[in-house]
Amino acid sequence: MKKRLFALLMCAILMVGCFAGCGGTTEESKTETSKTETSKTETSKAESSEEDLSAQPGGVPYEAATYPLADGSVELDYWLVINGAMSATMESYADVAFFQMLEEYTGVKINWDHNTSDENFSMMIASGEYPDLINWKYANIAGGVQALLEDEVIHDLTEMIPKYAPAYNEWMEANPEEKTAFTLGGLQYQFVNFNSRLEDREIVYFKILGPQIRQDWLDKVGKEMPTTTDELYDVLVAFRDNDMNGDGDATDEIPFAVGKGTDQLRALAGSFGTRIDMHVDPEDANTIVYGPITDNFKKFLGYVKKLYDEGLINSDFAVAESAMNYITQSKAGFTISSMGSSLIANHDNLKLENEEYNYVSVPWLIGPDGYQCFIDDSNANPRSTVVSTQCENLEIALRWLDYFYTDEGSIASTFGIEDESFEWVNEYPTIIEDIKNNDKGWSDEQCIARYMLGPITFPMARDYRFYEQMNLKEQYQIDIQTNWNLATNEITMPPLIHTTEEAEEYSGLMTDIKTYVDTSYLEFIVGDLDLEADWDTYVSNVKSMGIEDAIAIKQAAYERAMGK
Amino acid sequence: MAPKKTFFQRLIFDLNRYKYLYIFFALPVVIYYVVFKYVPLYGLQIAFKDYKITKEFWECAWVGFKHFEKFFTGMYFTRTVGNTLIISFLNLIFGFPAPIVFALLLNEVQNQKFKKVVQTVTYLPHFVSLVVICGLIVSFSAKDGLFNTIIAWFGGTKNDLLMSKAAFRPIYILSGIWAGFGWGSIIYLSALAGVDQEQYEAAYIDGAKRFQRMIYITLPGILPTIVIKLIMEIGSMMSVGSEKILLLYSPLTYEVADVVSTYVYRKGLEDNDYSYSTAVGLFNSVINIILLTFANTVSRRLTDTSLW
Repeated sequence: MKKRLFALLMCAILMVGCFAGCGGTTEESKTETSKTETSKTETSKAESSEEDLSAQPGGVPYEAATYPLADGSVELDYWLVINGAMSATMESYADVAFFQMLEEYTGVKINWDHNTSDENFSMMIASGEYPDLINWKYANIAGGVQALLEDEVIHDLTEMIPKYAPAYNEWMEANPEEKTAFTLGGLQYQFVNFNSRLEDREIVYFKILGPQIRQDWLDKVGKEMPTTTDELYDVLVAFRDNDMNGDGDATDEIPFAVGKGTDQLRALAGSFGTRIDMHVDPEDANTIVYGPITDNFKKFLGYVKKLYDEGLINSDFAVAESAMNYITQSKAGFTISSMGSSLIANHDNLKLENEEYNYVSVPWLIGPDGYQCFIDDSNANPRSTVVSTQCENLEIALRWLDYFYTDEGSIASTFGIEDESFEWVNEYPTIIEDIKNNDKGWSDEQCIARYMLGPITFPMARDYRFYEQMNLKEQYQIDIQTNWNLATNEITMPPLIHTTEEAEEYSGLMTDIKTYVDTSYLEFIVGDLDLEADWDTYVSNVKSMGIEDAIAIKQAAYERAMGK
Repeated sequence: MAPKKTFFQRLIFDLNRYKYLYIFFALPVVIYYVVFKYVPLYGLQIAFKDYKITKEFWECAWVGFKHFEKFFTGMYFTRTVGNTLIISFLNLIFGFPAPIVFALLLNEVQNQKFKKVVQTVTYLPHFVSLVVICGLIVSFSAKDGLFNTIIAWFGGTKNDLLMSKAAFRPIYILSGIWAGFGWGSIIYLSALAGVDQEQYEAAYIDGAKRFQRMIYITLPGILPTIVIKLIMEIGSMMSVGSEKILLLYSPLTYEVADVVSTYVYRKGLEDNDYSYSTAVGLFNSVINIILLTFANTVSRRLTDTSLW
């Protein structure tokens, strides 16, 4: 008996040992997953595509939805990333008060799947078993969203949206610019998130990223708010040379705080009429150029190099995890960053410690040649929801998705339940302050997120009055919108549509080019490459890597888009 | 005399006689290898195809050696392969002897208590997550970090070490040695325990000094272990792990730090180019096998020690 027990124990140990030792290489583990995916697909393939929904006639005048949409027997699987403010206090979206109300109201049960990541998305698609509704950033998946349409993973909704999602359709018809941006040349496939103003049915935007400066430091050195890159340089020099934070050490100030990824620096390229990517030539609106090989970019690099050489940016900018540390340590005078809730919370904390502390927005700076461009990328790759071809209740799914765009649903999803999380005060939906009270140390945003979808990105017409109450309360927040709105977008490309072949060729060319440009960009700044001596070699290297073919692809797509 | 049994007859007899041993000990391992190591080989075919995640393997068109050609003619081929070999080679020169020297030194320690404490302390880094170790390295290498404080102490100038091309490889190799030498010495310590004590006594009587005993008795005693470890090390020369480099490098240090596995990671998981990264990974494995075979043959000729 004892012997047998011992043998069993040894087996158990041995087996654990086996699996613990399974540290395969990248390539091995990849093939492992691919294999399991295949076997899954075999079984699921037969079940799918039973109903041929695309055969339904289009152009039929829509019937208004009647609620409940279903008798409670309909369930939809929704694959969607969970927002940080919600995951902080809840397991899944099923716990949000609004969604509980919605389930009763529509009679549709949603099975939330928040197990999302780039890898999981690929695995889910490769498995051949798709949830009904899939929310993801579709702009940067391999082959683009066209590939998903071509391979019949998701539905072409061009005919069905007018029929079953009239409210969403109305928003799109009322805002032709967004319709162009959110469709593939008129082909509808997704439901997107936007800020809505019901009274004139306008889609409105709020600027969330831009330059910020310590007003109290400016006052201390007696400088005006900088408006040009040259003035900014003078201000940064003054920040460097004085003991701004008053700790007795005049050398620990970082005039311009920059973090890894160096988006803070890159954003400044707009002041020189360029960016680190394809853009429209600021001198010739008919031509697409690749920013990093233009003379404007060289000027921009010269400016940044000057900042770096003179110690105006933190020397570890290429590897520093984020610029935030320097801001919270009261060491940074200037940065370019998004004015998100975490940054605002940090500012509030610092204000408690130091009365003078005052971080304010700066208008986008004007460059030596008069450029003041900024390309807002926040909409370039939106999270949006598509309907998979394996969705069996297509009509109900579309009507459910459409609810968030109806006048009633827009208010309800943004503010939650009337008299529970918001109330009408003089016809203005006002968030009830009490719901922010809690004894668990949750932030305002986290508390609010337990009731409503206002704080999160979700495919819906988010009522702009939420933003007014949350982010436009203080004067400095209102100034942000005026200041950051000053930039022009003349170099921004319209949304371009590529064929699958084009998309493949383009990404094939651009990966290596981007790696090379990212490296060279940093090397020019830190001085490993000389801006005068090495620039021509650098440009010819980028050209030899096939940049001209990549530009040609964009140019052709641009001309197609402009021709329309 | 009974007729000589064939191999299969003997095998069946053996299986029958020791069936529990086979079922409980051998079978799980065989299943593990079949399921996790052999079945996935089927997926290697996508290296020769244009794989799309929405399609089955057999639906994708064969493209021959297209992805391999792309890699060989690509501008990062020499850089990634070169970096991989250089980093592996440095690791072999500096990292490989470290646990051996440590084990030999530890073997000479007479105080058992001290020996145990040293052993435990040196094992510790092995159990710390790589992410944490890299976090330590990043903060130590910062301009106001530990390393720079030490450098400044000796009169040097402070520098952001992780932004410097010259410093990346030393940081990578030295931190690797620090994290691995204690754990790596276990196998040598156990080999040392097997060295015949009588030989030491004989040598002592013959007048061999301590250092001479180490060179002429201890070292030859653990030589087979060293050789086997060396062969295995050479067999994985092309597989410098991506994790640690991913956590430490930046575009500024790509030139000295970008290895095949990080390249595969960027291509495969960031750009979703599965076929291409599988092709690169396959190429890597093939080189590894060639190196392993080569090292094994050389070793068999020279020292009579070999894996097979």
